[in-house]
Amino acid sequence: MTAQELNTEFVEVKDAAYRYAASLLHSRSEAEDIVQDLYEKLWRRRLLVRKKGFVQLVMVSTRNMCMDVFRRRNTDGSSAELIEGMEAGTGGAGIWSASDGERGCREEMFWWEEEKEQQDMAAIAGRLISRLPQREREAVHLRLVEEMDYQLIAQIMGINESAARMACSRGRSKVKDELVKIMGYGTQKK
Amino acid sequence: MEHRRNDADAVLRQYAARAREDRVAVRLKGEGTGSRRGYRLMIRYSAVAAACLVLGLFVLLKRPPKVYAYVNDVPLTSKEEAREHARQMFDDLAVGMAPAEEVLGNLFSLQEM
Repeated sequence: MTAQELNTEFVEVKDAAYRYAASLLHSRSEAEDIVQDLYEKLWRRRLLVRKKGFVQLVMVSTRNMCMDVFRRRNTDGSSAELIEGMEAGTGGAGIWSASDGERGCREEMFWWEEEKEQQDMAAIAGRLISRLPQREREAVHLRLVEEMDYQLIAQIMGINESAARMACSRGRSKVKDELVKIMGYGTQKK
Repeated sequence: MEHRRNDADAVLRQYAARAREDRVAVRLKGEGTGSRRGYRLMIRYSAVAAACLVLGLFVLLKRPPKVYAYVNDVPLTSKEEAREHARQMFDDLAVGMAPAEEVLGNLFSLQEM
């Protein structure tokens, strides 16, 4: 891949990689650093990089770099659990589960966290997704936001296609159930 | 209930649309940087080649000169000088051999007699 080709291809996928990293790390600045580092790495190896499977390469590399960040953090048991979950593709509760949501590592607010208006359902959906177990959150993010097919999601997450489909479906279902409850609050007849 | 699930779907789509607005600026390396790097490499290689040339010349110039002859243990590096000394030596030898030639000539003449 030439320099110009790399730039063109990377510009198309960089935002998806950033959002994916941000959803995994829950840190904007770290996600930005990861995307920049990834670009530098790809730039150095641009002659070896091929156009085919470039999106997969970028997304898998992003995921691996996020794992490295988790390893570096590695301050408490929950991050270790998350790494194990990511490596095994099982996805534990994750450090951004409901109980851990308010803890430590995050220094920036996402738009769904900044939203003061509780009636903004999209922001509520964002919060609900961020509280899903890591594997489901990843699958939901890649499917819902990045609109990737299940085959690619499975390749990125290192699991099989049916597991990716199931994780996505389960996560989405959980979020929808919660949303339905919230939307029906106060209007349901007893 | 069904319409609420549809509403939930709509909310998720809305969330996805808003999430997709989240973008990042990456400092891309341009062709300019690449060509500058090319020039830098060219300059570096040229400098290395020039240094090699200078070193080669230095080695050539500092090489010990060829010795053509020794006269009284003194090396002669000039070919002309060495040739001149050799000529002188053989001339002396020719002069030294001259009486012997006369003696031999006499001997031959005596034999004939």
